[in-house]
Amino acid sequence: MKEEQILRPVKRFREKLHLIMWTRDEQSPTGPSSLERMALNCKDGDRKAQKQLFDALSPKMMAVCLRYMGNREDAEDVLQEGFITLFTKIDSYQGAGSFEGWARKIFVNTALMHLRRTDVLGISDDIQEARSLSAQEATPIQKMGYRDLMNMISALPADARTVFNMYVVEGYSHKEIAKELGCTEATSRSKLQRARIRLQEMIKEKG
Amino acid sequence: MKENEFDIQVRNLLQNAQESVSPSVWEGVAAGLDRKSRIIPLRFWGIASAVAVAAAIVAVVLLRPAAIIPQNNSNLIQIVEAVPVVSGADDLPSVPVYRIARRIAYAADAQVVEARPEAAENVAEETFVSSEVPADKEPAVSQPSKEETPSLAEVLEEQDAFNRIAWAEEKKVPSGTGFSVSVFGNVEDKRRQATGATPIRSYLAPIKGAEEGIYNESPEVSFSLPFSAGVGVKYNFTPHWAVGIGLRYTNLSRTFVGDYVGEGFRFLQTDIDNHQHWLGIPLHVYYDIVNRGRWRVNAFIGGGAEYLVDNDFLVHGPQSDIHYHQKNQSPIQWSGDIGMGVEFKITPYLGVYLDPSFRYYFRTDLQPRSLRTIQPLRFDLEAGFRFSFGKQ
Repeated sequence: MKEEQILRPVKRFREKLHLIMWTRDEQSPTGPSSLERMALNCKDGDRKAQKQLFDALSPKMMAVCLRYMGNREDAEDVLQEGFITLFTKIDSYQGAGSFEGWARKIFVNTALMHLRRTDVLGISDDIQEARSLSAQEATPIQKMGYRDLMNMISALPADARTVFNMYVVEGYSHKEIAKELGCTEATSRSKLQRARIRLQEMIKEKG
Repeated sequence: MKENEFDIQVRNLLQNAQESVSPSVWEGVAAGLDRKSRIIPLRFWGIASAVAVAAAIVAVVLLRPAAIIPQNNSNLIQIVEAVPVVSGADDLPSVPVYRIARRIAYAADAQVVEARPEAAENVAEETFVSSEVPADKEPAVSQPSKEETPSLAEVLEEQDAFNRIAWAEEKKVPSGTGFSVSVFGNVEDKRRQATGATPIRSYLAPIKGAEEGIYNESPEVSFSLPFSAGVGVKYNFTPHWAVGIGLRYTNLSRTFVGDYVGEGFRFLQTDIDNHQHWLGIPLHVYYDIVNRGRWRVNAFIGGGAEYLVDNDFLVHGPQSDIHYHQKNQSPIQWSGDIGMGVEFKITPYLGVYLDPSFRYYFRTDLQPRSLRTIQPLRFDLEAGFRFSFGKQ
């Protein structure tokens, strides 16, 4: 038997104890967030705790899925599959970082898997030099609403939308994107630049 | 505005955004988790059973009876050998007769002295090398020369020879012609593995005029390990040659995404589990290459005919699952195989055997989709118990 398996009950007890202690002191800045507490409760496969976590997390993760998939139907598929993966792998969450960040990675990876499966990414290494945004072309987006921006992002081609989401919102580097999507870093840069320009154009048209 | 300013503004707008979620998503998640929890115990028990069978086989091999049959004197080994018997009558069967040819004694320092019988008598002389040996035994032994003193390795080799003969003599091992019945299980290799299925998407009215059935199967399929179980009879018509026939059940399973059209409704792009239940008759010819003591090694060639008894589809609907049994329109599946097997006799009448083989399935294009239709040449591993009885 692996050492990990032997120590699992001890670890569980420690986590529960930690949870009880922090529950008493909700205001503590270093205590676990409510999401992390819910995640700990899910480790025993308790369906009520899972539903509670689902209710708390699903609106944010649905937004992530929608941003990648571009339509509600596919986004709900990804959301469903992502949550099944999350609850199956929740034991591997060590509580080291934010639970939301850990969960977000699962949904992004599930979305990427779906995009690869449906072959809509089609990232090729045809690098065309995309021009940089000029001061005149750049348009402020402070007045834009979330819904308008989401509609514009959904209208981007799948490959450009994926690179844009990964780089701008999730904070992946071009090296990480290239590795994840199986393209070169130059291709990733080129797709990002095209996405930016296209978005700017759409914002301008709207504005 | 610089690029990074644009990025920051977009990020601020999107990062903490929220969207409404349809209640059906949670239903799908709960159903998916239920399905996973059903699969994991099955896998666990499958692995546990395989480990238990392997442990039992190892235990039988390692804990088999010791090589030496102890005599009154613990430093004495008894060697037997076959003696030809001339019966004088042609119609009587020739049965080997075994006798105790000699006994050898060995000392703790591995210096072994033996005495060979001078005549074909049932009991030979006894030899002792210890200085504590009673004096009255000494005259029965000639003075041992250096060449007559075997090493410990030679003694152990003789023990092994003795064991084989003693096994045959005392346990009446079936080694000639006769019947055997086997109970077996097979697994085939599983080299094709596709990604998992996508979840349930839609629940719509059926297309007019469409027959009940499965449509638009996705190319991505996840296959389960094919397995079989059955019984067989083997007849050794000469000491080397045998024929075997049996009855075998096979289960072929796969999971894929497709459309199901039922009566008054249809599911689009839903998870579907397909279980094909086959019954077959395998026929083989065996040639025993080695048949010594507890071990038998053989080569075999043959084939089989299989019939698809049931083609069952389990369609995972949004609320409940539906079973759909497809009408069988496929012909008999013929196959040919060749392999080598090994059998270990636990007792004279019970053996465990392992028959790995390569099997080719003919005209699989006429059959419903399975691992066989994608890859007609397959590796098959049959393992089972063989009960031997009949004329020996």
